[in-house]
Amino acid sequence: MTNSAVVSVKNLHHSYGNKAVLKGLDFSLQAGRVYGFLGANGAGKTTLINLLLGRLKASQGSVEILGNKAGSGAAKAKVGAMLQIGSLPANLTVLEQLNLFASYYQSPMSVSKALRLSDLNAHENTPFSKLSGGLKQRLLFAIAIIGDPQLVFLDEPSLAMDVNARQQMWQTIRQLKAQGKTVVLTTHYMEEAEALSDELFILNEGKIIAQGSPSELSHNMQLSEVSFACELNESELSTILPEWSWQVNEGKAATRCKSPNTLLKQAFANGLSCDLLSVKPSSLEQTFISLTETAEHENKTPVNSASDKSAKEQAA
Amino acid sequence: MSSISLYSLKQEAWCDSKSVFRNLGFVIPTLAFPCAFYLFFGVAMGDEKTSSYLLINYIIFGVMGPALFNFGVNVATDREQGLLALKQLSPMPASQYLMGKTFTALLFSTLIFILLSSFAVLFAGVSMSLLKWGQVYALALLGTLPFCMLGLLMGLSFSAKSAPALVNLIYLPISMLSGLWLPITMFPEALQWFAWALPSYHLSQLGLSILEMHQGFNLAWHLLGVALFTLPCGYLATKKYNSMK
Repeated sequence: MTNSAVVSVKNLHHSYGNKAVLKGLDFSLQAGRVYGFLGANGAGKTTLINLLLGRLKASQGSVEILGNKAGSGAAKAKVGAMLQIGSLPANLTVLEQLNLFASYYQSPMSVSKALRLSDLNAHENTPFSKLSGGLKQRLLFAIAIIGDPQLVFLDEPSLAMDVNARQQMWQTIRQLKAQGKTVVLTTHYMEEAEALSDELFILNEGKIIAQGSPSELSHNMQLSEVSFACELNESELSTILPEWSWQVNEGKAATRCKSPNTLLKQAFANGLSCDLLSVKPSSLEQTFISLTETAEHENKTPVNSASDKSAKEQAA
Repeated sequence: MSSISLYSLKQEAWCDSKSVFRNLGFVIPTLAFPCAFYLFFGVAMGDEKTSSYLLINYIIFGVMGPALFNFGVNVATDREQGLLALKQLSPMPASQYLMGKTFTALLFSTLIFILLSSFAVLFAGVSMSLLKWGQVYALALLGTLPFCMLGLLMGLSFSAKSAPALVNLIYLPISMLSGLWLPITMFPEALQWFAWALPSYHLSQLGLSILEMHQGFNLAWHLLGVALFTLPCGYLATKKYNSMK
């Protein structure tokens, strides 16, 4: 672990009663990078973020933010967070809310800069209750950055935003990164995670099952998406090409595989014409699904068994 | 306290007050309820002695409402909506949020004192020395605190949906059983003893002692009664607030 680590997590475990939610996480986050944390519901993502923010006390292990214990006063001064919260005071204007949150910090960003970065200049005198869903998200983003933090947590930052507002938000996140800030992103939009993250952590059942840049993850999985026009149904196709898991929808068959050559050779050998054939690298979403399916399968069956290898290939 | 904290505290208090006072659906009934009661029972239907007696009791009744509701209901809402969590993630001292809400409750208490005192002087001919007016005002401010603590404890314990009903459930019975509407000597003896457990009864007696209209018990007992209610409530609420993350 380097000294420049903004976040340093060592042997982190957390349990709720007898239920282990996080099972020995070790990682560090560096300055000037965007990190995406992905995981299905119940993977331990929210617990991890709460531990990083100091809202929970870890059952075991440590979390340090810029050399300070997570949740300590010194750490709080350097961290900003955009949470999914129901409401801010309904009758206070955007400007009043930002002035209030700015007053909590020793060296806050100027309110005018926060307004500009979150594109809220035109709405500074609008009460929270009169803002649209997207504008409320932008205000929560402005509150997250008003303390001029070194580390920013963004939970579903572009939720309820239209396309233009989302692009604007992404641009601002890239600006924060360019200024040397570290951004921790949790999102269900794979497109957003792929577009913004320098490094992704994929969590499954309390463990990090994959870590790397979006392209590295796809490359390591060596997955391709193969699709072609097909008149057969799923069970017929599975009988002819049993090594792959098929989806047939409106006359189009699709699967994911590591070796498109092998698949296509077998398909042609079995007399399939494979019209409208398409072979493309797997998307992050498909990579995510494959990784979590594989991890879940490994958790359920003994490692190194013949059936496990076959199942892994099937999941892939 | 550093200058940054003072500035921040001022912002907190000012924002909380603005947020509450812009909600006319809350402000109007909160102020109108004790005023209407006092004008009807204390001014229109009573002599000068009754007006003085009820002035104290309706001031106590008036300050209870905003303290209970601003803490009980608004803290529960802030907690459930996530605003409290957002504030706790900032370096803001934990006490600042509560001090802001206390400031708003004291502002309401001041308004209620001004309104009811004006009615008493203008329409019921109530008169007392400036010192006594000052003592009544100080009592109105002091009387706000036990209910801030009770409201905070409720706001941290109950959901935002149940808090308004529960606050109403205790607000009106406490007022009644404390003798704010009728002297407790008119109640059965068991209920008269129950009043001793209620801070509003002790505050009422402290206020009436300024006008020499109290029941005659040693005032130290009433001060102790207020303290014995306020301190445990405050302790439990603080413990709950600090442990809530």
